[in-house]
Amino acid sequence: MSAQVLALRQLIADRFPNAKPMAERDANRLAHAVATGLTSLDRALPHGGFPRGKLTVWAPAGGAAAVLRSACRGVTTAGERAAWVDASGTLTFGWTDGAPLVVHATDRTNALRCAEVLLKSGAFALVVLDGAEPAGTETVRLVGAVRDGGGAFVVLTERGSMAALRIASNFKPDSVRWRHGPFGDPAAPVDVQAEVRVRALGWNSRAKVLFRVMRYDLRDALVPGAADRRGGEPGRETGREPSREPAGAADRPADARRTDARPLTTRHRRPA
Amino acid sequence: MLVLSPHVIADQRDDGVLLWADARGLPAARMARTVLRAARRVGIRTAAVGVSRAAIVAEIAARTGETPLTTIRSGDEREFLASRSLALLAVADAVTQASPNASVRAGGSSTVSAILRRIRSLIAAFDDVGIETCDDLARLTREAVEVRFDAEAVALWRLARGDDTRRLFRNRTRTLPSASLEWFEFELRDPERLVFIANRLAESVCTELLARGETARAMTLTFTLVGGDIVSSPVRGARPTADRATWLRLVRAVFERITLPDAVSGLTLSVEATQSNDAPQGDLFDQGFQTGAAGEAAVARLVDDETGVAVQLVTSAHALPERRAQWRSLETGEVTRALRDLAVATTSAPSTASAPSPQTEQDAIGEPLALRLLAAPRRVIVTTRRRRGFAVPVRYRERLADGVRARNGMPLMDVLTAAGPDNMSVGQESGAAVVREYWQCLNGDGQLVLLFRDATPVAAITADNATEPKESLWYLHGWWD
Repeated sequence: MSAQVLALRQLIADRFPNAKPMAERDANRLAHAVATGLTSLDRALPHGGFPRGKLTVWAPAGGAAAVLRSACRGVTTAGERAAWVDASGTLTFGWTDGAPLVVHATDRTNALRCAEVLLKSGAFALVVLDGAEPAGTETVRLVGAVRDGGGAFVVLTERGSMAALRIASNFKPDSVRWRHGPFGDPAAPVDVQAEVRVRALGWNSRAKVLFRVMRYDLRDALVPGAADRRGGEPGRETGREPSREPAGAADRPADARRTDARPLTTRHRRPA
Repeated sequence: MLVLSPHVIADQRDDGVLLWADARGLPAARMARTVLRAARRVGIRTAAVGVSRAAIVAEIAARTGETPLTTIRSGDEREFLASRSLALLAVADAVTQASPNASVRAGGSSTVSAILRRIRSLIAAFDDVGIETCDDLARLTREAVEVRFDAEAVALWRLARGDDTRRLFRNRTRTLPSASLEWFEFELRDPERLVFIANRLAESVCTELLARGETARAMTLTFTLVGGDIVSSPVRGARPTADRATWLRLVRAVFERITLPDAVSGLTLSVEATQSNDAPQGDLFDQGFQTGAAGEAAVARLVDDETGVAVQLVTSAHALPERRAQWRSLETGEVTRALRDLAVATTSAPSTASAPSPQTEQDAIGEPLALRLLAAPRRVIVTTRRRRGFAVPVRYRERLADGVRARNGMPLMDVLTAAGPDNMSVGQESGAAVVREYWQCLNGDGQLVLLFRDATPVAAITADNATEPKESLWYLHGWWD
């Protein structure tokens, strides 16, 4: 390394003490996995996140989308980019903040092509493929692309061939915490706990993650300010705190569930 | 001369050569002196220079000036011409150009000479009524000249006032880059060979674009066929670029689509529209800035290949949940901005990929589970139980086609908890009524799903479903994930 380069580095270090040379910082960045932003889950993942340059598969459902959305947000906060290739066409609410970049593909094959192009570009630290399951040679090709690009690649699929990391998660039915209505019936889920199982070569761990449930958009009245017909926010409309609803509560007799219900008022009357 | 002035025009006249030099925005007097010295240096002793804002004044100053260099200040043009004879204007080419019949100049020199003859006769007519100098004519009103003489007299009247509207130095439109190759000894039908040629053409065009600091927004690929026919095909990318690989990929796509009636004997690639190559300013220490161009190129390639499109969610207050959220395709500029916004420069912020911090209760709570909606609600068969006057779902089964097994071999899914109903009614006023009864259910897998019963009045149900009982029209609309 020439003396001039060394002098320039020294000058930059003096002028910008918080900055690091790009090469050093990139090497540092690429050495770390892409964290999910959930400490409990990151501890269960090898190297503390989704590995870069490798394929990760996550069985759909069980809060996978929520965790991956959290990871995308973490990536953008760190100054990198994340992309979500959606072939399912089911993403709707909760994606209004623009992170990650959502790419719609018309069919499964195009979704795989989209993922390959985005991965190869090297511009995205995390690419999520949702709604299209690669198989056989397609997986080989995508693994090559993610290796070239150096980002993390997560596919929401049950198939785990060629994956460096396999994750599965499921909700515990009895862990759902419900907010109750005036009759004591469960009115809306508040949060739910998921158990995440992480498997890799020589690695097997579990983690528990608590998810809030996004407010059901239809329940938000079209008329602003109108109260939820079956109970509003805890402590405001009904005065009841959310509680765990045991599984099978819907099958219980209505009278048995109403023992601790508040008196019926006109304001909280159910719609006929 | 071109060293001194950006634009120089040489006009061959009967009495010599008239040189026009563009001094707009330059020190005109100094330039005139330099021109004069340069002329004398090459042996032209009789050279004279006139400097004025009006071309006709400059020309007459050069012709009639008492000194080799005559400078007419701005505003003094009419005064300078006042004592000059009208015959001087006739020799100026300005008359023919200012004439309403100037458009016929292209017809040939005979037409020009005809105009000049008419103007000389006009000057003679002026002389008959005592108008001899420019000042005599300039003092008249335009209406008076137009009524008593003709349109050419008005052109002459305008010049006599020092008003020359000629545009000697017109802005030249720069030719856009293009490259072509033709061959006569053989004919080509093999697309790969044509791609090989197109690659060279694209390289030539893109090199020229880069040299000019521009990017191409659109190109045209022109095939010259053996029979002499010409087939053109537009080539357009998602974003302006001067990248050879991108244009070659687009040209390849044209080759895959196009069907030519004959063999090819020539190929031309020409740029149709250009745009300046604007390089975004950014922070060298911004991690996202380094990969911004690659990200934009990747998304643009998706659009070019029609494999995918970047979208943005747009929400509304429509009553139907599937109509509340709509995805809108992003334009190229919006994608660029979105990618730049995504990569927020956070040099001081700690990276999320750093070592995990001690766990806290807040850390355990991730992003909320969001509702995912099926584009088309899926029919399910639901078993219900009456409770407080409502049919509450207790289990459901997806309605599958014949021979199709349900997922996980579980045709039936128990509903552990059902919260609802949420009644939704819309479209009554337009006659397309939609009435639904939504239930938020927790199924046996621990999944939160959204079911609804179609409670649309029987009259509004389509003929296909009219035979089924109304209570059986249940749908799975989405789930939380």
